[in-house]
Amino acid sequence: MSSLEETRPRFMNWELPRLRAADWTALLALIACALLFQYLSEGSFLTSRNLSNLSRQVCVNLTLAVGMTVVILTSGIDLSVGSVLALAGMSVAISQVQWGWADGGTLGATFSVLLALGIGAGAGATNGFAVSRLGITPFIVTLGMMVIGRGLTLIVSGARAVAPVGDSLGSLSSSYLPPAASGAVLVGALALFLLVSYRSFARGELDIATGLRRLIVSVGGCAIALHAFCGYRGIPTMVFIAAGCVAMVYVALHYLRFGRFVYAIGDNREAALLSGVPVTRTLWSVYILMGALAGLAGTLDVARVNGAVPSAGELAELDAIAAVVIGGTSLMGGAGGVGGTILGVLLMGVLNNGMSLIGITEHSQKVFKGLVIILAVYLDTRAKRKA
Amino acid sequence: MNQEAQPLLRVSAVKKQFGGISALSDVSFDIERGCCIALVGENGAGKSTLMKILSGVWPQGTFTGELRFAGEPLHLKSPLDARKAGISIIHQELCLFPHLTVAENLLLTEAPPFDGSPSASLFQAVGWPLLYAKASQLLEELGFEISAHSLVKDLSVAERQMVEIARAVHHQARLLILDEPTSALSTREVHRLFEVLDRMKASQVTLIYISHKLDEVFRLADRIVVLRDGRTVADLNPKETTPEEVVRYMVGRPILDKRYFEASVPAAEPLLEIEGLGHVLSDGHPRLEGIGFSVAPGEIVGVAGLMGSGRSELLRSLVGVLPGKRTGLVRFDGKVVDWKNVSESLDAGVSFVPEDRKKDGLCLDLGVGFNLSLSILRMLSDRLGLVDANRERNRAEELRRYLTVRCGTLAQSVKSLSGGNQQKVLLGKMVARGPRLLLLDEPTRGIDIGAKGEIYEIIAKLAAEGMAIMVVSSELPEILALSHRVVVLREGRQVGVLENQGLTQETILSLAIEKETL
Repeated sequence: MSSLEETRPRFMNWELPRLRAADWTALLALIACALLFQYLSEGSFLTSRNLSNLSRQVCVNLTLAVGMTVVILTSGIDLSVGSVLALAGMSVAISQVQWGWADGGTLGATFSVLLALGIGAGAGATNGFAVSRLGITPFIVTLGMMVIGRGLTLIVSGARAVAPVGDSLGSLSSSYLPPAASGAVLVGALALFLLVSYRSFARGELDIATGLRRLIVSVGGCAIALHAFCGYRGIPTMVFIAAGCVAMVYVALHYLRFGRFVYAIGDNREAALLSGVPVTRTLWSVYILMGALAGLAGTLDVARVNGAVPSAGELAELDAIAAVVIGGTSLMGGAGGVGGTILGVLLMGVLNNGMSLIGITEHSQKVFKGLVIILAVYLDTRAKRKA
Repeated sequence: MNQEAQPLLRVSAVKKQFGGISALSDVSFDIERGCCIALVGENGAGKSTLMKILSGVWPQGTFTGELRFAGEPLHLKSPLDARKAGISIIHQELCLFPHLTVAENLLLTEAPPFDGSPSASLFQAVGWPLLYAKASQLLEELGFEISAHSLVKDLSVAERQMVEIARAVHHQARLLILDEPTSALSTREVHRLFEVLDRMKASQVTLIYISHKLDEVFRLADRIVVLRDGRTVADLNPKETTPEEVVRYMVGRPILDKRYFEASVPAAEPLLEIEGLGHVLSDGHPRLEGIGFSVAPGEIVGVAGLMGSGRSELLRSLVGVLPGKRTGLVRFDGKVVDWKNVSESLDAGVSFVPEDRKKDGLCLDLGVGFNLSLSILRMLSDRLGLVDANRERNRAEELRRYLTVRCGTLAQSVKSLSGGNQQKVLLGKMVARGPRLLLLDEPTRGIDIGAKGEIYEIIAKLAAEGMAIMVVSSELPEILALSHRVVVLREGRQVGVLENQGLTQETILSLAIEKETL
């Protein structure tokens, strides 16, 4: 028996296995980077306005990364999300501009969003079919879909940018919940989270270390969010949408049968099959979910830049995968979760935003980002080995 | 001092702790040159920890105590050090490269250069003819009938073991450690292995033989060292002891050669009836033929046969996971059935417990509770798929107690449990569905005697509660201890159905073995 087992608390803990050390690594890296940029930018990094911008910048990657977390938990991968994002986004722009849905106001925007979700889900279903039914490796299937998606985007757009989209759709990015209401929502969410955590703590499902970390992260996170959002316009609608995706996936992974199947398949597919887990259906659903989220991310991207370009979402799959891995989810599947992914996304976002803020050119940024990804995963691996 | 008079290996007062828990608390013994000692003990007695110390996995400094090899203090920093010193270990799970040839596996690290020069450069061209010639010569010297050109993945388990042994010989091993080498071998293959080991002993190679099978231990060993709870509790001469005494030292209590099943089966209509069952694999090769018997509720039917007789395939064919096409008639509860996959057979009330708990059975990194509830999630969740955590916990706790799984919490990963407890979790996971027919493939492979007895009791209890059970096992004592009736298979054909009354291992074995090899 190893020391890890021994220090495990003696109570019922129905949380799926999580990588404790990894959570701390990403969190500490996040705080360190934030403080570094605050210093280098002479105090402009931690301003409300900048943090609010940062929150809008990370929404697209967050939406992709939560879906990617589920895919990677099944020991799969989806390389097509960037292209699917571009195709769905381009469809939104075309429906708005060329088909005149922009004139339809909110209803038109709703249809555009549904179109994007449908296209994403369709691409995901194709991936899922090839992975689960035809038994082709996810890497190859989604590599193919990545090229197909990019090709289709270029075909439907004629390789030209399509802009501008209608105000209703644009408001996904430009609208905010008023600061006062935002404050109430944040404090309410914090209270709810603490209440739920306290109840599971009282029932003995949560050990002190995890409980304490939850307390620190949630109160700290809430304080920063209050500072960012109440000090500048309020919570952006985009953030609401991305947070909704996170919540949905969290619930699916931790409270639904689906989540158990995802972890079981990732940990030991053969065992899952022989236990009667519907492996094919679960895998198919996972890729459809990922596709739909990529479609949604495409919509958010179009709303943010007020139009679609054929090159949208290039390398977005790598950002999403990097965020998931930095967040401690194992590429082998079966271990990890959404919590770590949020930290991974924030870390990537802080790097992008901070480096731009202190005037590092976009080209050099890529080099730094690559180095940070390698470093983060190295630290994570080392922490796990020690544990 | 005369080096020859020294024991080859002296282990004195070795202690090793993990966290606060001591895995080895006091292990000491000597091995003379050319001698074979058997190391026995229940799982968790510390055998594998000791092996890891001897093979350099736990380097010098991570344990206390002293190792002396050929009179010199032995300081191992890595497994490579151990191999250089002349210690080779053959693991339960073999460490070969399946897609490479036998020759490449044997001489991988020292492929002879093209021009025959003694060079070890990474980019030296390999002299393939020379490599194969060297490998063939090595195999021939050892008397192994294996082609150096075969791919390892095409070899049987026994042949792979031979390759491992050849590799150890090639590395001039002076001490060869074998960890449960016969767990996947047929009787004939075991005999061949023993001949090889006898020859190695004759050429002054020292052996440490780890096994649960006492008949093998008595056949092979010059001395039997018993470990219990991390201590050496006995060092016995096989000529002066009995298996009963060894077992007594291992478990600290005597166990009887008892029959676990209820003597009388209530007369009932058979639940499962098989008539003229056959199975043709996807490549057109017939695997099973002419199998027909029935299983009634409350009855345990054993399926015996040598390796490759189609024991496991029979179970896999029934639940629809064996590739290819099944022929013949299977009736379950009076209705003709043809299950296409595990979900269908599970829904019908049939649970299949696969043989390889690590590969096919359990999600090792996930918790005990997670595994126990995996096959019953549909019953524990509502229509939306929301899992009722309270009911899940209660059900898992119930199963844990019924099966006497020893674990700290239900969240503890299955990986951290002992083999016996892992096997109980696997059994529990499939029993959770409340099946009417339970198909068990090797229910106690590689677990210690104490846990075996507990699992036998659970199986007998399930049968007494009215479950129909089929047990496939390579261990005849297990078949005899558990089954009311025994179906014997030979090369995919049924060669007998025997009532377990006055039945002996010899009777079963003589049916299972081909006539010409007897």
